[in-house]
Amino acid sequence: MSGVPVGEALALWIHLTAVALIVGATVVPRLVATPRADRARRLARTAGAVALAALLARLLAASSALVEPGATLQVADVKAMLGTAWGRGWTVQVCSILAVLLVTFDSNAGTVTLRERLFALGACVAAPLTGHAMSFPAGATVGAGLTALHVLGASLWIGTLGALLLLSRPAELPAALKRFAPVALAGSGVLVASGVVASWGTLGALPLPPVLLASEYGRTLALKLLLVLAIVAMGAWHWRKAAPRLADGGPDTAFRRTAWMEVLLAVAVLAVTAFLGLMEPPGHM
Amino acid sequence: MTARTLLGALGACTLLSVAGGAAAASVAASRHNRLVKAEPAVEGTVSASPKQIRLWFKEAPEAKVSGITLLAVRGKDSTAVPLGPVHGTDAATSIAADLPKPIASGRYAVRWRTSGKDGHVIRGQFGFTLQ
Repeated sequence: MSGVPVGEALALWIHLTAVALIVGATVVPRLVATPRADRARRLARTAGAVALAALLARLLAASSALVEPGATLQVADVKAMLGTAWGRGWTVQVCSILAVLLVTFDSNAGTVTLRERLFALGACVAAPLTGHAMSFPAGATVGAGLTALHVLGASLWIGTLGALLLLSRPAELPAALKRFAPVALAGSGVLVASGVVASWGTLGALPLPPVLLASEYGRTLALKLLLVLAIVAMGAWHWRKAAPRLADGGPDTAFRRTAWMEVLLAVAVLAVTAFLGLMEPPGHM
Repeated sequence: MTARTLLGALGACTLLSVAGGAAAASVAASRHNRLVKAEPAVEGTVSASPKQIRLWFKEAPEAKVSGITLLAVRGKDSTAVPLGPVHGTDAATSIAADLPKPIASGRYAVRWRTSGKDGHVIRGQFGFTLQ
């Protein structure tokens, strides 16, 4: 039994985080009074560049798995990997990120355009093409669709919150948070619903404690669920308590601190998700 | 609890979750696709030289990254036996490599490598005996 390649898991983690930020950067200009689309585009481009580097690292890590003991990675190994279904999915992912970079370089509109948001959505849709989703028991299309919704939900909720903290001015934060609330609710709803259905399909049963504790994959998923519950609790506290306090003139820095904690917890969830993406689910054994 | 303490706790939580995920993954991981059947059979005995080494997997193997190596095992030494290139078969979940000429009696080891649609590369080895 071989271990999960940590390098590949880290690259997947960075890729998922970058995609969430790309989506967040295209949503935030709709939430704030002064869109400052140039800053949002710069954030999307930076996240896109990081995603490309992570994808390159993933390709090298995945190709390294073809190298026989004692040998070194050859161009032929990389070419062989690119010729597989995984390689085709990887190529689509790279194209989706390049499209985001091109469209954000090309646009100088005062706010983020529909075209830019659609390309950000494309990065979400492409994200599942190199993982478990493609071996989903109910079929690759169902698996990829569910996982794309999962990535989109996480990106709308946490990616937008992260981008909001990076891009908004203190004075506009209270009003922006009011507009963010329905986005976060929709994103978290899609995230939880798609996550439950995908886990059900993957585990072959609802992700309840007896099922989760029966396998290493299930226990790792349970760790992810616990972290998600902590984020949901923090999000609810921000929505019901901290944001109204901020709107009443409370300190901006205190809100930002705890909001960053929510984002960091989500980044931790993405790390666990990346490891899950390289572990064998029990439903596939 | 101060915000700094909270941040510290959160940082520790992040590190722990990453380490926890890595630790769980390191003991739990095996890969998606898997060998379900082979001809000659895994650890089996055959009476005539096989014409090919054929492997069946749980899901369709990726031919482009698949490899089959045949080794003649003589005591502690093993020498490679020439095999044709890996090719698909009439079954989508199977690959094979042809033996260009009959092999002599003795013990043999088959090493294989492939992956499934999710790109996870798997490897394995089994033996068989030709009487």
